[in-house]
Amino acid sequence: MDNQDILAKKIIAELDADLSTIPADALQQLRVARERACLHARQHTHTGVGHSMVLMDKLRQHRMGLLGMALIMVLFSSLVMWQSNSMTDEDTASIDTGLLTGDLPVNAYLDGHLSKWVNNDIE
Amino acid sequence: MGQQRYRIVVLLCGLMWSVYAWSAATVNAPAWQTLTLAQQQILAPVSDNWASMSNVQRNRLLAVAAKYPQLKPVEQQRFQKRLTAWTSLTKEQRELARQNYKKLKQLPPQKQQAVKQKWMEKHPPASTPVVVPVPTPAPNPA
Repeated sequence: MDNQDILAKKIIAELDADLSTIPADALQQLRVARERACLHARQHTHTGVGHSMVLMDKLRQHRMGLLGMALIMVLFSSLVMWQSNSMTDEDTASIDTGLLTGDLPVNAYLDGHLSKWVNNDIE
Repeated sequence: MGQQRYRIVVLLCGLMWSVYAWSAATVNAPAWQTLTLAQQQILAPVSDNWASMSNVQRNRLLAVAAKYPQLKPVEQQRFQKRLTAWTSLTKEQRELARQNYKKLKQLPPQKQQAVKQKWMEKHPPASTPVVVPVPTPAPNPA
């Protein structure tokens, strides 16, 4: 048996001896303190669960809001797309009319010369 | 219950969007026989090729044909003269012509005129047969 074992046995003996020698009012105080600590710990756990439920609820509400917003964005973007498509069609029809009825024949616009002169003027 | 209703609304919206997208992509241009008499008269030069044209091309020609009654006689004449050649171009050639036309239109009127003049000097008009313009048909009540 080494010194550590001897020391451990001594501590255990002291603790056992002291437990029986603690006064009754001190024991009562210890019991009350322990009960309070347990109660506090239990309340803390319940509060945590409550927080999670509130958080989950908020998340659910948020998710619905986000989905709603996404839906509105899809509808809005589709409206914009539809409008821009119809505008593009109208523009193209105007250009085609200009090409088919303008001063220059259509092949002028396929000609490299005209393109070059126009680009030079733009630059 | 609320969640389920919400899902149904989302599903319906998705369905509506799909139907819209599908219909937009597959808008069928009318067959030649279903065109009004006025449209047939205006687009007569391309009647033989109508069936082989894409929906987009047919719809664009119909859009141009809708402007025909407002054109001046000389413009109507040019339209009739150029229509067949225009439709025989490839999609890429038509797109190139549109791009160059747009660029030309971006120039100030005087420069536009100068470019046109320059081109006409370089390409003097060949003798071409006179094309009798199609008379402007009365608007179809249908």
